Amino acid sequence: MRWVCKVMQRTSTQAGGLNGCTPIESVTGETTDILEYLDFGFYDSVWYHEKVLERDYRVVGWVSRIVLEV
Amino acid sequence: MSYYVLTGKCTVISRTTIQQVTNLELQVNSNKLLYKEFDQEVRRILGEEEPQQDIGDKPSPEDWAEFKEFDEDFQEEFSNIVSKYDIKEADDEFTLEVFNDTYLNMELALPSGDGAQPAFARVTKRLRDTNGLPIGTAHDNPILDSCCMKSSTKMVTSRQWRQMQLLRTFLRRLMQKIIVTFSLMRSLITVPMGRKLCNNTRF
Repeated sequence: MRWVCKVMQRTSTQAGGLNGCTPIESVTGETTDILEYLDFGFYDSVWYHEKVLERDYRVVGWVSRIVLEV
Repeated sequence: MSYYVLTGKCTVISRTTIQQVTNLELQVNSNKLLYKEFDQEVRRILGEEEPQQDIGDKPSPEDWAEFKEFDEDFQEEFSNIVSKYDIKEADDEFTLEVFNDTYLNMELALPSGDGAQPAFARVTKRLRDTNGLPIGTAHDNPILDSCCMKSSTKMVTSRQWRQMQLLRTFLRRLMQKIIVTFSLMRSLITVPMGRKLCNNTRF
C-alpha cells in the first residue's frame, strides 16, 4: 500500500486541475526525482549478500520498500 | 540509496547492494525451488490456504459445447448477432465530404484599414491535396488556424492577420509610452503656481 501511494504521488495526472503535474510536485514545488523507482519494482526478485561464518553468500530476496531517507 | 528486502525467512532486512535476478536465473530449477518454498512460507505465515484450482470451473470452450449447441438461452445471449441489412457499412457510405472544414461558409468580421467599419469575409474553400484529403488539421485555437479567408477587399491569411494585430498592438503601446513621456517632461518644466516657463513648447 505504501509503495502504491509513493508511485501514485510521483505519477503525472490531469485530475484535480494538476494539468499533467505530479501530486508531490504540486505540494513541494520541486521536480520529482524518480531515480529510486527506476531500478526495481515492488516485489522484484533480487540477489543480496549475506555473511555466514565469515563467508559471503548470495541469497535471493524480494524488494519490499525503498529507503528514501538514507 | 538502500532497499528493504524481504528474505526467505520472511524477515525484512536493509541492503544497499542488491542485484536483479535475470530471466535466465529464474528458469534454473534450484531457483524455482527457492521461490516455491518462499511462497509456501509466506502463505503459511499469512494463514492463507492453497489458491483455488481451475478444476470444475470449465476454463476451456469445449466444456461449454453442449450449452452452445442445445441451450436456447445460451445461444440467445452469447451467439446472437445483431445485424440489419438496411443499415449500410460505414465503408460503403464513406465520401471525402466528411472531411469538410467546419469553418466552410462561415462569415467573419475583420477590422478594416481605418478601423471605423469592419470588413466582412466568408470562408470559401478548403485546401486539399491530390487525393482530395484536406491539407493540415484544425488547431484548437481558431486564431492559430492557417485557413484562407476571402475578404471583400483582398485575400488575407490568418498568419498575416496575426502579424497585423501584433503590429497594431506594438504601435498602440509605443504611442502610449510617448504620450506618458511627454506628459512627464511637461510636468517637470511647469512651476508650482501653474505658470509654464516656456509657453511655446509644443508636444
